[in-house]
This record gives sequence, structure tokens and C-alpha cells, in this order.
Amino acid sequence: MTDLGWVPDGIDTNVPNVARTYDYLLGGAHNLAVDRELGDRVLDALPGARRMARINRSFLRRAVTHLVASGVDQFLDLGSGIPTAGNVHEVATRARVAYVDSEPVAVAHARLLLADVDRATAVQADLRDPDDVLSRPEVADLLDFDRPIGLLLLLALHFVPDSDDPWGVVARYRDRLAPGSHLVVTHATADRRTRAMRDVADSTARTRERLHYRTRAEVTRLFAGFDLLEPGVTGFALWRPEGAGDISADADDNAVAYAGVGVKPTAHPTPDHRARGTLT
Amino acid sequence: MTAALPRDGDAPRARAKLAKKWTYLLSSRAFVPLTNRDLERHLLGFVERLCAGVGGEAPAHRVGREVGVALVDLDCATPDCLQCTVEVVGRGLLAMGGSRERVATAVAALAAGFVERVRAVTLAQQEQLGRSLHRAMRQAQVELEVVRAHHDVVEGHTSTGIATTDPRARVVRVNAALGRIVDRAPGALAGTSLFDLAHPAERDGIRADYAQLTRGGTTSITQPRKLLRADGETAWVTLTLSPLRRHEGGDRVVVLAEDATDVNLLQGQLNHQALHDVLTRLPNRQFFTSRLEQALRTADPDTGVTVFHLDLDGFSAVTGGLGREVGDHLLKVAAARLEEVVAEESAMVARFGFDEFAILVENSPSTPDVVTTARRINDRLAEPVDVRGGRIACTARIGVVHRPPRHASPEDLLDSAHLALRRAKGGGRRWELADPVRDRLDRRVLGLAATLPGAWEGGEVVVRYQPLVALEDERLVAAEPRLRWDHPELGEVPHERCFALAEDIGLVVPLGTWALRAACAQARSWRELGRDLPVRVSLAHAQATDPDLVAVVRSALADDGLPPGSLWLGVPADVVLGDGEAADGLRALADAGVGVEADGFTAAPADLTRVAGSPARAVRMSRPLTDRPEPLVARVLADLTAVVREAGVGVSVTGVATPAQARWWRDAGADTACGPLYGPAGPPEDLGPRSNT
Ligand SMILES: C[S@@+](CC[C@H](N)C(=O)[O-])C[C@H]1O[C@@H](n2cnc3c(N)ncnc32)[C@H](O)[C@@H]1O
Repeated sequence: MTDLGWVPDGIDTNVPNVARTYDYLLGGAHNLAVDRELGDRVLDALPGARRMARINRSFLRRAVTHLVASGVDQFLDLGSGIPTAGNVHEVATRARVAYVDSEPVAVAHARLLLADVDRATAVQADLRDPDDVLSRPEVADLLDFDRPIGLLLLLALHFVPDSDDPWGVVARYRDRLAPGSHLVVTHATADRRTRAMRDVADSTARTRERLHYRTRAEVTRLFAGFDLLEPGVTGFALWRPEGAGDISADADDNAVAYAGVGVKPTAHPTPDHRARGTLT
Repeated sequence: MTAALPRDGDAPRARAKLAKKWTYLLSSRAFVPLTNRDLERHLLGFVERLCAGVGGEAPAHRVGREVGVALVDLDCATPDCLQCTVEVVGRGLLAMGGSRERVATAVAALAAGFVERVRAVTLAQQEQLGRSLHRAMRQAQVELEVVRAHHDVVEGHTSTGIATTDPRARVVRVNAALGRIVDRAPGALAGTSLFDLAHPAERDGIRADYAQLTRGGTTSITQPRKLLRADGETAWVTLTLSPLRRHEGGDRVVVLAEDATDVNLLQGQLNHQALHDVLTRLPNRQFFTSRLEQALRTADPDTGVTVFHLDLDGFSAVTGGLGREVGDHLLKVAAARLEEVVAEESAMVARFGFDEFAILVENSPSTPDVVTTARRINDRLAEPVDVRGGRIACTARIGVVHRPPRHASPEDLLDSAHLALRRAKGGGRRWELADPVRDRLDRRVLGLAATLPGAWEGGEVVVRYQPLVALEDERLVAAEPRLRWDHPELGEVPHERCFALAEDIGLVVPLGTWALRAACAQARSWRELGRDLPVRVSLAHAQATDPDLVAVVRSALADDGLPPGSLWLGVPADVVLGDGEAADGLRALADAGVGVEADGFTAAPADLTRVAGSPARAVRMSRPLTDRPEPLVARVLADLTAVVREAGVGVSVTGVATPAQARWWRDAGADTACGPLYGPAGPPEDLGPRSNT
């Protein structure tokens, strides 16, 4: 069995992948013809897709800036994608940042980019397995789980089907976080532009990750055990916009994904002391 | 950096305006990882440099190029960005008075710089991507090597037989464990066909599996199979065949063979333990439930199934009094007898809990009806068992679910059976059929129990009084307190139910004590109004046997300054006629003048002989009665009453609903009565001095 001509998932250059396609939509060139083809199909179904990617990155900047102002100086970015302009460690210029993505190319790329940055690291892992993610030495050595952490899940959880219980996954991270930690989420929805969003989901069916849209209530449930900051779970453009670039003139664009930021309250009991102990 | 365009005195303001507009347009077309303010600051710088170029202070083409490059570096790199830049900057510079020619030069250079930079960035990113892909691939290969190394170790040490074959089942590679399973040297196996290793009877089956896999099947196939050992014996295995699709070198099939000879034996034992009760060796609840599920689906719809849920009466008393061994023996006997009762049927008897059993009967046309089976069960159980010199008989209460719909869930069904069993117990009947309507009610009421304490504290439970009259002249002789829970949603929950609920949650004694004290206080109020009306308080079993009862009664009487004769206590017959400590306490109370009466008097021969020596001065029969009792029943009852009265003990009856019943009891010799005929329980005023006319 030594002659396997085996290509790992996600490196197969004949199959488009989410991270590279998202990069294309953001205007990057870290993508291949197959990814651009898929990107164009997404654009056919949802002409505002580029705006959506842009609005999401703007939200990321606002949210991270807010967290830094609240004293958060370490971040765990799950489903971080291919590093593009305005990465977390660039917005939070003094913070320690662990990037996690399941796509080997995205991670290899992040490693190249971070070669000289010792306060940031990139790990290839599946965010659905919190125990695995949190026990990786790169993560456990870089981040101090006894102090607040910013947990970022941006446009990532809609790749997790209900059968993998995204709520339970978030709860397991939550249980390991210190009080004062923040949860930041953006999550695609089909509550608006239902037809177009369905078409997008159909066009991406060829990638490994399928899209699982969720309603506002379902997204809100992700924040169980966190206190939601104002204005709660809203269209991602409408979360404390600061300027023209943060929102779109088209109201529906502003709400094709929900966004929210929550903070883990101080009084919140941490049931899993034992597990936290192993990290310190 | 002074005003570039000399004609315009408002130059700084105009430039700021241009930068603002440019910022707005860019930020809504590309993601710029800057706040709008920072972006605007950068763009204002660009505007100033462009103005300088247009104004002749710097070469317009160079400034233009630089700004084009800088724009891309700010991540404003999409075609959209260029388009809006050319538009807004071109127009702006012209409006500020720049010459057409110079503006055109600057803007053209900007576009060129932009494109050049985008190209460079794109190439760099593509190159990076290529490197990342390569790295990822390398990484994956390294990991694969590690996996392989692992794999070799595992393969060598596991007890699972592992082989790799080509699509025609020719063995490419094999581990030592597989050699052991088929009793051959691993080296001798390479190159042979898996089909040859299979037991002749299995060859076609395995061939078919291979055909399925090579036709493109993607899932593994797992089957119990037989292999052929070198010594001619058969090896039992669980064989898993998994396809392995490869980019190069042709597809493979991975074969896992787990020795199933031992597993089979062990599994059988484990199954038995997991599914059976150790003492009686009957199936347990889990086994029963799965069998029930199956039976529901497969039963003949014309006859269906019947489920009996049984509880042995007073069993804890047996084990408590005679010891565990006797109890175990009885349970085994009961188990065997239950199996006998349904021996002719397609049936399963299971033990559910301590003294709980269940029977599932898959009915056939010859199955006896439910009444017959329930009677047989009780008859058979009632035959005395010899234990340690004595003889004990068992009785059971039975909840029955007969021919449930086939889509019923086993859990719901067992729930219904259990509720019916509870009703049988509550109603003093041997068996009871499940009744969906009552089930629903009971389930609700069970939920109610949890809320009773709060309701009681909140004043939702009130005391009402029901008249007790002398049968002779219908004179009011006492008032009986009755609890009523005015539930905000369910309406009135009557006395018996209140106590049944209290029983479920261990609240009987406090609730009963409270009712007793309330009644004493009421008796005093009546006395203060000049009405000497005793109260007759029925005690629940737990209350009657409560060691504190005597103290509680004494203090209630003392607190209200009541003469003992104003309090009558209705005590469960088995307590007051028994010879435990509780009976002694009651005797003391009776001696002090408290009226003690035996409730629920069954008139069994044993009770009759004990009544004379007991502290009870009266017994209460709770036998329901029709207007015209059967002559035989009538005669027996009349005789009984006579015996009791002869012993100097009074007879009281409940549930009297019609004048005919009242007359009948009076003629039979009963003294007092209560029941619907004499009015419902009402507020104390109804029985107060006013109604004393
Ligand atoms: C749309 S991108 C979002 C990138 C970035 N978080 C952002 O918001 O700009 C989604 C990323 O999630 C990653 N992803 C999807 N499922 C994942 C999983 N189970 N574990 C880790 N990463 C996952 C994909 O590889 C992809 O890079």
C-alpha cells in the first residue's frame, strides 16, 4: 500500500473550494480557474455577492476594533479563510491571533504570510471539533484561556449542518472561555432574497461545504450563555455601521447575513473546570 | 504643498470635498481595511499630489502613476474602483480649474499605474497560491507517511485480519492476524485469491460483493462470513470489504476480517445479561419494550395484542416482615405462575421492577378474553405459597391495555398500562382497563402534584364541610372537613384527589395535619356562636400511623380549647383494628374522649372479630350500594351490621345518594350517613347555627 496516488481533499485543483472562491469575490487572486468559475456562478445568482463579501470584512474590522477597545487582546478566528486585506492581526495590531481553517491551502497560505509574525499562527483543523482545536499546541500555547478571548466565527457556521449541531459546538467553545470573552458571528441567511440565496446554495453544491442558511432566531440561539451587545443579532451591515463603505444602498444586501457580538458574563458558571485546567 | 491651482482661493475646501466623494465611492465598491476617516486621509493626500501634478509643481505623469499604484496598495484594486476613480478625479481636477491636457495626462498615468500594479499583485498572489498548494500537498504527503507508519504498526499488532486485494480479489498484502485466522503463513497468502480462502458455501456471496464494489459501489460491505482454515476447519469472521479508489495504480479493496468465533459466544451471554432480570430470569423492561414494539407492528390486526402491567399487593410488607429471602422466593414463584397462566399463548412475561411484572400477549382467535385472563392471573397468584412454616398468598393489581392501535408507541402504551394500574389501586379494584381519556386526565394530574405545595401555601386549597346526619331523623350530628383545591385553570380538584396528589409527593401528613387543625378551629368558631357541632376528620393512612399523631391531636384540642368529644377521627380500618403502636395511640385518644371510628371497614371475618376489642366506637362502610341491592348482598350486609352493633359499635355509611338507599341502610341498622343526598360540602356558614333549624 505504498503506491497510493492520493490527493488530499481541498488540494485537488480540479475542485473549487470555498476559501479560494471567497477570495475571488473579495477581489483577490489567490484562486484558480475552477474557483473563479464558481464565483461567477455565485455572482449570476446573487449579483451583490461581492458587496456581501465586502460588508462582511467591514463588519470584521468594526467588531475586532470594538473588542480591542474592550480590552480583548487574543483572538481565535475559526474558518478564517485565505488571509486577505484587513486580517484580524492587522486590525488588532498588538493582539495574539490563532487562525483556524480546515482547508489546507488556506492554512498553508496563512503560514507563508505569518512566517515573520510571532504573535499569530495558523492551524489546519475542523472547527466542529472544539476539543481538537483547543488542544492543538499552536492554539494552547499562544492563547491564555484564563483571560478573555475573542472567538470569531465569520461566515463559517453556515457550513456546519444541523446534524453537526452548530449550537452545541459553540457551547463547547463557550464553556472553555473565560468571562469577558466575546463571541463574534456572521452567518448567511435566506430570510431575505430567498430565491437568490437558494440559487447560490445550489451553485456551491459542488464544493465540499454545503450552505446551511439559518433564521435570525437560529442565529440568536448561537449566543446562548453570552450577553448580546447592542444592537443584538441584525443584518451584518447594520451592526454599528460607521460609514458609507460599511453598508449597501440596497437594504436586502445588508441582511443576507446576520451578525452579532456577545460577551460571556462574569457570573456565568464554567461547568468544565477540569478541561480548562488542562490548558493552563 | 500649497494650492496647486492658482485661480481657486477655496482650493483646500474643494480638495477636501473631492477626497470625501472619492472615499465614498471607493468604500462602497471595494473592501478597504481602513475606517472611512483613514481612507479619506489617504485619498486627500492623493488629491493634493495630483493637484500638484496638474498645477505643474510635479510631473503629472509621474504623480499619476504613483497614485495609481498606491490605490492598489490600499486594496482599491477592482475595475470598479478604477472606473469611479477616473470619473471622480478627472471631473474634480477639471472643476478645480486644471488644464484639460494635464488632467488627461495625470489620469491616464494613474490608470496605467493602477493596471501595472494590479498585474504585479495578481502574479504575486498566484505565485503565492502555487507555493501554498505545493506546501499543502507536501504537508499532506508527510502526514500520509505518518499515517502509513502508524498503519504498519497497527496492522502488525491488531488481532483483526487485514488484507488488500485488487478488484479481482487477488491478495496484494496481508497481515499476520489474517494468517492466524485462516491458519496459514502470511507469506503464502500473497498472490492467492480471497475467493479460495472463503468457505465454499460463501464464495458466490463474496464474489457478488466484489462485483458490487468494482461496479462503483462506495460504501463498505460487512457480513458474517465463513473462511476456510488450512486444517479444514471453518473460521467464523465478520468480513468488511471497503473500496479504495486511487488516482494511480488501479483500485483496491481493503478486507477486514474479525474473528467472530469468541465474539459470537460472548455476545450471546452479554445480550442475555443485558436483557434479563437476574433473580427471576425473566426478560427485563428493555427487552419487553423492544418485543412490544415489534409485536405491535406484526400482530394480526384482527386480534391485536394485550399488555398487562401487574403490581403485587403489599409486597414490601412481606419482605419487610419476613425477610428478603422469602420475598425473593415469592417473586420467583410469582414469575413462574405468570408464565404458566399464559403458557398456551404467544406471550412474554417480564419483570419491570421490584414487585412489578408485565405480560405481553399476542392474541389469537383462541386467546381468552381480558376478564378471564385477569381473573386467572389473580386466581393463580392467590394460591398460598409455603414459606418458612407459614403460608402466604399474593394478590395483584393489574392495568390492562387491550388491542392498542398498531402505530401506538411502546412507551405511551406502557404509560397507559401504568396509569390504569394506578387507577385500579386507587379504586380498590383488581384490574382496570386503560382509558385514553382518563389517561390524559391522570397525566395532567400527575403534573399537578408538583404544584400542590405552592398552591396550598398560596391559599388555593380551602376547607369545606359536608354534613353527617343521623339516619333515624336526618339530624345533623357532625361536619366533615373536605379539602378543595380551586385550581386557576383546572377548576375544582376534589378532596380525594388532593390527598392522592399529596401522597405522590409525600405531603400527606402536613396537609392532613393542617386540615385537622382547620377543622378544630372551625368547631371552636361554631361553639362560640352557640352551636355544638363536632367535626369528623378522616385521616389518611400515613397520618394515622404517624408517631406524632397523638401529640398533634392533643395540641389541636388544647389550642382551640375544644372538649375531646368535639373531635371524631376517621381512621383507616387496618390501622385502628390492628395491633401496632398506632392502635395504642388511638386507644389513648379514645380513652380521653375523642371519637375514633374505623374507615373503609370491609367486614372481613378477621375484622369483625377485632372490632369489639378495638378503640373504634363506630365503623364506616364505604361499600357502594344500588337502590335495590341484590337480596343476597342485602342479607349479608344486614347480618354484618347486626354483628357490629351487637359488639356495641356504631355503623356509618357514605355515598348515600337517594332516599331509597337511606331508607335501606336505616332498616339494615346503620346509624349515621353522609353523601350527596344530604347536600354537598360547602362553606362553614352552611352548617353553622343558621341551619340548625
Ligand atoms: C466564507 S469563508 C470566511 C472567511 C473569513 N472568516 C471571513 O469572514 O472573511 C469560510 C471559511 O470557513 C472555512 N470552513 C468551512 N467549514 C469549516 C470547518 N468545519 N472547519 C474549519 N473551517 C471551515 C472554509 O474553509 C472557508 O475558508
